[in-house]
Amino acid sequence: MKTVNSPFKFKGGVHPDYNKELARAEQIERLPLPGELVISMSQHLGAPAKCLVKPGDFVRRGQLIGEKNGFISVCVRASADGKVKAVEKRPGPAGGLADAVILDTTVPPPEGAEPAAVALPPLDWKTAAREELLRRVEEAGICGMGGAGFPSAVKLNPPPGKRCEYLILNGAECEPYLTADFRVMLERADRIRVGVEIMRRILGGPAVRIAIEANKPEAIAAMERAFADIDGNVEIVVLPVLYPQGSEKHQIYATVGRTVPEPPALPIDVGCVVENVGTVAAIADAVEKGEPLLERVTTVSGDAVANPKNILAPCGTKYADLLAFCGGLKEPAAKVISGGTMMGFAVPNLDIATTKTTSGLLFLTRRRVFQYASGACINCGRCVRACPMNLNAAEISKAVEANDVAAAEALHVMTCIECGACSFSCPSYRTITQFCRKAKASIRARQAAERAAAAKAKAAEEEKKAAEARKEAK
Amino acid sequence: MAGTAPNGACAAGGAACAAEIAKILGVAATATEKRVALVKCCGTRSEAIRVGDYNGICDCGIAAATAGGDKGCKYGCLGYGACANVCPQNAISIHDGLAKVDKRLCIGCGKCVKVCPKGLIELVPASATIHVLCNNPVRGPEVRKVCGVGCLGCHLCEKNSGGKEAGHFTFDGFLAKVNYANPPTDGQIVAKCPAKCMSEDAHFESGH
Amino acid sequence: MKPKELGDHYILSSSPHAHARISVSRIMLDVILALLPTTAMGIWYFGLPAVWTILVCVSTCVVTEALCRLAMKRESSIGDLSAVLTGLLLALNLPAGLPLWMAVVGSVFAIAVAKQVFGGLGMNPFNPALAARAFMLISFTGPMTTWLAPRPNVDAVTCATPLAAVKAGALADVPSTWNLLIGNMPGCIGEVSALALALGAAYLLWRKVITWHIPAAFLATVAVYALVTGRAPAHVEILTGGVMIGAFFMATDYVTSPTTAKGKLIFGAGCGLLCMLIRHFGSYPEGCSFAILIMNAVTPLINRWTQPKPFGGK
Repeated sequence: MKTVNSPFKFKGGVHPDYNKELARAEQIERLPLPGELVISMSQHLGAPAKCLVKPGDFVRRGQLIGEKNGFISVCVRASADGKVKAVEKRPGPAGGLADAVILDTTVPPPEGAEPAAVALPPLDWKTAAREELLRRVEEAGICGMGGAGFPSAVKLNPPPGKRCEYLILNGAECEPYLTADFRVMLERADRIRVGVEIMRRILGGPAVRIAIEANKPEAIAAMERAFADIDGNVEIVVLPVLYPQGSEKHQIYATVGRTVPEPPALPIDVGCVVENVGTVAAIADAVEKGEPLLERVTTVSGDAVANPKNILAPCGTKYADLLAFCGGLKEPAAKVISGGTMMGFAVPNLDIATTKTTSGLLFLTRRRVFQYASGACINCGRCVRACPMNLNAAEISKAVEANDVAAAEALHVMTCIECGACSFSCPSYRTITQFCRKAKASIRARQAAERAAAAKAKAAEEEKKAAEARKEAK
Repeated sequence: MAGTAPNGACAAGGAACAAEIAKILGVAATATEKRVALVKCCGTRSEAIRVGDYNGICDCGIAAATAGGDKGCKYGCLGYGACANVCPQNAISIHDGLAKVDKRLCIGCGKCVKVCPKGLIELVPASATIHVLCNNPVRGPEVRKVCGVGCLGCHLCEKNSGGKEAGHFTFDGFLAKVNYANPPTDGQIVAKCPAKCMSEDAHFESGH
Repeated sequence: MKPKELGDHYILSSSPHAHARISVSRIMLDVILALLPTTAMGIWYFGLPAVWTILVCVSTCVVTEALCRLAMKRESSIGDLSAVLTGLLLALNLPAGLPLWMAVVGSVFAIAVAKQVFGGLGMNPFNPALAARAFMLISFTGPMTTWLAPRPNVDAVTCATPLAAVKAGALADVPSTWNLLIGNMPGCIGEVSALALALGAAYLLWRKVITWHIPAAFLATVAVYALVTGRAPAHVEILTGGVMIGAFFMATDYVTSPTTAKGKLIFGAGCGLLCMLIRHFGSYPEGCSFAILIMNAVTPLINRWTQPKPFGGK
């Protein structure tokens, strides 16, 4: 095990104000169980889980309440004991409506109910079979906790013919304000160590790279201590402080110097699996303790919050409960953001609940909030220099503004990772990232329509062939 | 030629066009009624609450993708004019945060129907006069929290138009829908709607 | 029944929710600040006529901008300071002592014709100040090429610029290198003092308002051309005839120059080459403005050639 400095620097990137000092010294605190939880069936990337409970049911902590629904999907388990008040569509942090189980946790278990049991039996990862460990990751409902929420069981099971050579632990946490991963690395280093050993076993012994930005020396030290006696090819890679260092593609480049091709290529195509440090700790708990992913650390911060904290809260905690635990607001908030300031979602109210991917909740005063404008591009090229994907963001934004999605597609807009570096650096305060999102959404819609049309044509063709075959048979 | 497309399916051409084509092809013209777009929402800025100050591109699809849009009702018209932008006839304009269709200009091409992220535009027979201008299927009390003129699902319109047997209305959850195959004609039911989400004259007429 | 209002609204916008806090007006202000040393030197050398030209150009540009926006029923854009900058740049590219009504005509042309007709800031294909200067050079050729001698020689009313001397083959009439550096030579108000311009350029580079690509390629091309052809010493070519103000302040105009680093290098080299070709073979002794204007026209093409290759792309 050794610590090295990253030898590769990607092009572009920006330096937002990190504002991490607000919460970085705060120890992880456990939130007292809220009276009501709103557990969404869509906490991950992919198809929402299928709800298994109905109003009036009493569910136990860890009980399966949402069934994995498709290949790219994750199951959902109850974060606490409680009675199902309702199952209804609720908006998630990004605004999309999804089925959610509203759980009243103040109702005691019914008379004669069995005492709560551990949801899953603990496994000995040193002897358990690979398939058994993989199934456990899937059953525990684990998805990437960094933000995107990609199902971990899918990531840890490379398709045939592809091999994972590097397992990269993402501890960059390049989003401003957020300190949740930092605190996890500090306080749960032993769990991360166990998680790495389990994942190494599942993936067939890849080399391990632990990527941490240079502004977290305490976390680097904690990882060095935890991994001091590990054998095999393990390195801690210290990354330069640069946003978006935590982006999967840029992290792969910064740690092992490989470049992931344009979509639809995935990290596994260059032999890499990247997993967030929080997820790795969750995998350790799921295997060793039989504890599914029911709670996570969320940073509640921002200049409007009375006492910024890093809070361990059950998935499904309403934002209002998190804020109350931090002593409320000391100043009126102009904007509430679920996630970090660069890629998080602005939310309209505090009735929205946390999910497995909620890394932060920020309350910003008017001083910290800026307004987008509809000014013209002055062609200064700052967005082009800032773009870590090396796209011509200025031209893309102008094309989308003129409703020319085809031109945006020719400018590789689908490669955009929506990191926000372009809008961040635009002196005209143009919504460049949003223009990219708009183009991507309409291109995806068109592609889906084309796929549907092709499938229909194929079906018709086959039907025709079958009819001819029948005719000939006669 | 397979000859399966029904004559008269070109809504934009209208009845006269269909008759002309039928003459050329030597087939009988199928009478298709003129259909026009209807925006099934009447939650103006004063009636339907806004829950945030949206700051971004003026487009319904992208606004809906930003925290679900700034309207309290997640089913209602956002009023950012995606439909007006695609309308080839300039038949749609935004009034008080709400899209409105000019019935005389609309040719029923259906582009607005496709582009609306809330799916609340429907092509309806031009002759139908009574409409339910709401798209929110949730329970009455929930609707009331976000909109003063949302359908409560009270079934009064159905009762006042001759009951279930008359078949003028269907229901989706707590949302009444006009059965345009058999539309109601009695204007009385509009005035009796307690939610004030029904209309006898949903289309605006511009000064063209 | 009217629903209850839900208290104060939060702002909803798409990410990012953080900004580098730079603005167009701040950038314009930086350029104006960077031009102050050379403006001061111009006023020092050419006295009151320079002051009047600067004041008239700036105020006419601002008023024209306001009137244009009013006529087009668009929101006012005076606050972005781009009109002030255009006025200042135009004035610095005019000879002191030019009849003031000509300065007014030029300023109106710069804002109304070269900028607002195309839709305002960000839409203009040509640098407004340079377009106006070219327009004035063609319309008022005599007054535009009548040069006041700098202040120490008060008696000499008009005289020839160093480049005219080079053109005439009279290299001996070119002022000493020190005089070229401090600007003790006839010329436009703001183009004479190379040291003051370099000071402003250093400020712009430090503030990251401009990058090194265009000026470096521009000046290097001029120097290489001078060395290869031996028309005049390289430092004379660089320090005279508005190459300094052109390379650092005119060619680097965002709107009319390419976006990528590669494109900027091509653009700068093109400016330098055209400038020297016009000086060498053209009928004007001075070619900097026309070179930049021609390259402005080529900018969309350069942008097309130099699309960046996406990270991970082929």
